[in-house]
Amino acid sequence: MLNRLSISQKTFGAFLTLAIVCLVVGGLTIFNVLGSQAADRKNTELNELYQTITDFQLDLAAHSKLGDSFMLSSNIRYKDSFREQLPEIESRFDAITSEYSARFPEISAGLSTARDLWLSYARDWMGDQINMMERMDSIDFARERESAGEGRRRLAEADAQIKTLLDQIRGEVRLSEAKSGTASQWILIIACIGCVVTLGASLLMGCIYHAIVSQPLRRISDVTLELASGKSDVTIPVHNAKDEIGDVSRALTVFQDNMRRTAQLEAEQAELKTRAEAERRETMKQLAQSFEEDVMSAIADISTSIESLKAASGNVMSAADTAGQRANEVSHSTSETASNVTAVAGAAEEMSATITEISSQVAQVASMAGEGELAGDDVKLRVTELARAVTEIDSVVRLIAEIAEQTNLLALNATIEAARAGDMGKGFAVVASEVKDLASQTAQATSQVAKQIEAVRGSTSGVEKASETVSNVVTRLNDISSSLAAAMGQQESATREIANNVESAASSANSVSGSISEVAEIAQTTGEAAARIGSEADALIERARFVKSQSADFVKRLLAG
Amino acid sequence: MQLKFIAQSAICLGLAVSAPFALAQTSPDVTPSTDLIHEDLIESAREMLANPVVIAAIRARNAETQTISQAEIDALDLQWREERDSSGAQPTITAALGSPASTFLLRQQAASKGLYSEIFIMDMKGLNVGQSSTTSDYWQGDEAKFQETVPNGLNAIFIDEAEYNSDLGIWLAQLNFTLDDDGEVIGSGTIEINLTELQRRTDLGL
Repeated sequence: MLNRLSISQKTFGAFLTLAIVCLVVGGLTIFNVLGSQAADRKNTELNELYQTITDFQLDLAAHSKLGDSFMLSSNIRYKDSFREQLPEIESRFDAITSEYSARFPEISAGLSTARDLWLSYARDWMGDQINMMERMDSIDFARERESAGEGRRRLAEADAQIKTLLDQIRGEVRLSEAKSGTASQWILIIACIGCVVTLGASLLMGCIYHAIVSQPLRRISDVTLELASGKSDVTIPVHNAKDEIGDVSRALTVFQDNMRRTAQLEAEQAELKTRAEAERRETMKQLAQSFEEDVMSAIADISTSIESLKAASGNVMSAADTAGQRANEVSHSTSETASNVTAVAGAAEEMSATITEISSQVAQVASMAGEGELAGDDVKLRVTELARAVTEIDSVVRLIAEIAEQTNLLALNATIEAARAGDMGKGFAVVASEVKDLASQTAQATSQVAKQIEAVRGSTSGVEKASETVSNVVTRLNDISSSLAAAMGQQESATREIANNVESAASSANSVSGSISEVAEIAQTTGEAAARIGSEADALIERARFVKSQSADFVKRLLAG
Repeated sequence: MQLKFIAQSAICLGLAVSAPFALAQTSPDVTPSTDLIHEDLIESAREMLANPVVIAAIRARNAETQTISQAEIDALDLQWREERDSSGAQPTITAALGSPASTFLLRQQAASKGLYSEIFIMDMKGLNVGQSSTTSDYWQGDEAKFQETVPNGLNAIFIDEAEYNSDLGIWLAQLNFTLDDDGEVIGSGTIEINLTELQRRTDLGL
């Protein structure tokens, strides 16, 4: 039954039991103490009454003595005293009767009887006797009555009643004393029994409490500590109790199950981890190997490509230089053309006057046109070379871009792997990040190079077109100069000079000048870009070496780890 | 009582009918008639002995002597007579004379101014209960004064013969009657009347 109670109920029950025991003991003690006190009080009052009646009895005896003395001596002093004291005696009797009858109903009847008997003697008998003693015709009768003993009988009866009353009071006193004594004994007995019972109840409650609360708590506490220290194979007690300990016990069972499950899961996880670790090592190994193979080869490729790029950039630079030089030359030519145009203007003014000079000049123009054609062809050739070089640069840049992209991917893979490797991969992660940055920069540079190449290509195309146009114009000029030469036989030199100057001026003014300067700028830009590529290629080569060494180191560590 | 005469006639109830005759003189040879004891005197005597002290005393004595044996009575009577003749201690006689009833009877005798020379009362056994003077016997049960009264019940009156007292020169006659308390016979009373004095008073018309 106790198992169904909670600890608070058990505790409450235990303390309630103790409280009831204390209450019963205390109540009984108080009851008996009150009883003893009441008995003592009554005893005191009864003793007081006894003393009062004893004193009064003496007074009554003295009073009756007065009557007897008068009857014997006929001394009126006795008679007067008797009569004087009679009302007082009577009122005292009344007072005692009324006072103590209420307080002690058990002696009320006896007291009343004593009073009646006394009055029967003192008032009725002796009063009559005294009255008769005052009359001649009854004095002897009074004496006879006196001698007959009725008065003595009544007095004796009253005395006996008072004695009976006193005995009764003494009996009551003894009864009260006995009650008081009994109550005192009971108090002692109850106190002793109360002590024993309270002690016994306390010990019993303590034992029961120890057995059903403290011990299970101790066991639960021990089990909890063992569970807390990780021992999941302990036996959990009192799990069938309905109280809080039972609840805790059941909760601990859940904990224990969870611990077992957790341990199992941990074991499984550890196994998985071991397996994953092995797999990871294998993967890392493979990765390292493939990394070593791929990255190293990629780096070798990159290095090679960069070398090629560097070479190409050198070529580009030289080509650009050449182009620039050529362009400068063209520029000079165009400048010259311009000055020639000015000269043509002057010459044109002087054309009519100097037609002969024109013919010669035309012939000169024809020859210069032939030179211009040759120069145009040269330009064309150069531009074509330039275009080819640009195309090569473009292919190299594309390769570089691809390499950069691949590097970037590898760096990304390396970063991921480094992240998976944890602390061990931190260094490699830095390297991978650097590689990634370099790849990114390379990509940007190649992109810029590509743009520049595209621009160069556009320019070269323009140059080609312009050179084509120049070529066409030269051809046409050549044709015209030929026809002029043919048409103006004599004025060949002047006409040829005018035609040459005009053609030169026209071409120089319209296209060559701008295109050439553009080519020159492009050539310069290309040269600068190529120079940047060259420097970037140097940096890349340096980085590639660093990456190579770091990668080798990483692979070494990866394989070692 | 010491003087005994032969009774000439028994006087019964209603003796007062005859008119008293005058004694010419109080000489012994002229015997005064007990007829002098008239009804009023008897009634007065009865009233006197109806006093509560008499009744109380007799009743008290009756209670005491109810079971007394004749031997005890005789012993008491003997004791009385011995003390009567003694000049020393007389405890029985003094006690009897000292009782309230004796005092009462003595007082009544004194009050009669010589008419009653002796008064005494007896219980149902004939023993003295009270007496105004020392009687010759303590027990009267064997005498006519008792036997003619108590055994005869209520209202029995017996007037004994007149006797002459030579020492005093007077005639005496005893008036005896049954004493009762509310109709119950309790004893008897004896009043010795000085017939000489009674005669004198009668002569004087008192």
